[in-house]
Amino acid sequence: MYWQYVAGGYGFVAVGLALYTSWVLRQGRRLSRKLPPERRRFLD
Amino acid sequence: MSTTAAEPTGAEPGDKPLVASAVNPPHTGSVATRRLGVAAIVLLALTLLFGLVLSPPEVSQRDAVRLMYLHLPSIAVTYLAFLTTAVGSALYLRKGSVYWDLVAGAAAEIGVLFCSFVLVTGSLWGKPTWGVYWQWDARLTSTTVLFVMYLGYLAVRRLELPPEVRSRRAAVLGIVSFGNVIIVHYSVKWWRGLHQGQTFGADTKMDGLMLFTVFLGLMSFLVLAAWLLIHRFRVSWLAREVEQVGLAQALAERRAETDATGLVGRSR
Amino acid sequence: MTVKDLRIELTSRVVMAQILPFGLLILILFGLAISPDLVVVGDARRPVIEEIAPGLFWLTVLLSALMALGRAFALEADDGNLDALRMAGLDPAGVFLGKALAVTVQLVAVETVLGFGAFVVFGAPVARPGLLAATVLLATVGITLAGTLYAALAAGLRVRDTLVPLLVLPVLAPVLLGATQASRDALFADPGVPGWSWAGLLAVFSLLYLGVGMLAFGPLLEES
Repeated sequence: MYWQYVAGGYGFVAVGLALYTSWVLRQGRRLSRKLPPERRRFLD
Repeated sequence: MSTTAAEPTGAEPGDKPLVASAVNPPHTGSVATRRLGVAAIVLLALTLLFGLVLSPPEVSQRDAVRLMYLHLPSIAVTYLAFLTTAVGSALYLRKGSVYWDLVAGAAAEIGVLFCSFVLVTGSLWGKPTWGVYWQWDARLTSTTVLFVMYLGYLAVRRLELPPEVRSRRAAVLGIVSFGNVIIVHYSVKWWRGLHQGQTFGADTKMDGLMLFTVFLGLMSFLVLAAWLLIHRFRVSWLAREVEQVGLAQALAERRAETDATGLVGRSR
Repeated sequence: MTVKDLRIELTSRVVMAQILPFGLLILILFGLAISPDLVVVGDARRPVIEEIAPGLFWLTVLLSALMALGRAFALEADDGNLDALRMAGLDPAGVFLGKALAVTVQLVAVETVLGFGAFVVFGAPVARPGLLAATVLLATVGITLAGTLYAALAAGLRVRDTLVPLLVLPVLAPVLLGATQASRDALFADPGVPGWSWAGLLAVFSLLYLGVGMLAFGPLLEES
């Protein structure tokens, strides 16, 4: 019972996460291509 | 439904045969985030399995209770993210390190994302349980105010200002906003409390398997949020680097230009 | 600082000539949007518009306050005066208080007229004038302190007019709540609403923003 609400909620969260994650990853690639490799390190 | 949204590996190794990019690959992944990402996928898959298949429907809410397995973890992530923003802002103001400013911004963005999950799953849960999508319930009302407040914070981060000025203003806002969260929460709670005794939804009965699923959801969302935070932070950091490189280039070009015109002027 | 802003107001009359009529207009528009013939069913049998008059009044005040705040910082930003104030070595906390006080004085003036207008238009009685006066004062101080802090965030920007409402309105939600509840009690002597407690909330809010504003105004003004 009430599966339509469950589907809506899980669907919204899945789509939201998918969109945001792909945006973040794509931004990361786009920006890092603009930089010379020696400036791409994060943890130092 | 697929959760491979959390695909952790950026480019496959060998995508670019350049030696330099094997050391500093052109994406925001690293060994640590790849492990975190795998953990997030596994945990999310388990949450789906337990949340949608293995756990039983609740006595009165029936299957609508399954929304709680996303709702409650989202609340936790939202508050933790906004707390991170406040702490990052305070540390930025104290130490002046740009990293903390970027952490604060990344956390706020993730907080807003998960806050939208809280609101949507909450009202979708409310329809079958309360009979309406929207109740002037204390928590629902204050969460909505919270959501708008942090949209404002993100808007300030996008202002066209000198970077240090913008960071400083955002940091002040990041700290004050968390204080507001508390004020808004208690005033709204008091307001509703005067009109009706109890907030709704407190009577949910959860057995062992359900509680375990909530716990699983919490773990998976926390790992996912940590993974997102690291990637988002790196993206901000890259954006800043690109800006600086661009600035240096523009400066060099302008210098070359003025030199050239200067030479031309002298040669005449 | 305060005196200077008020003197500018006296000569330019923007608040009195534009913001005040704007507030009155909003009150009238509320009256048009909500039929005066609707009646609250129950033991009160008051017209709906009278019942919700406190809420409408405070919403109008909030909207007017936004305009007054925008005005207060437009005065400075247009001439780059904030920089000058900082250079002059004025204490940022003092600048904050001066700005807030000037807006408070203007807003109280607007509220007095609006309140009178609301009294005439909505025809609400006043059961507890003391509580009403305290509420108006505390709520106004809260609105201007918080508003001044947030208006400074967006000072000198093209997007100021749209950004300030987005930042300030959610923050002022507790003030709207407290002021409306306390005024309800003041008007109708509503037994279910502890008016003085809500006034207390307004006082706490104002004190918090007094402290935060004095601390935070320094970092905000730097290099802006």
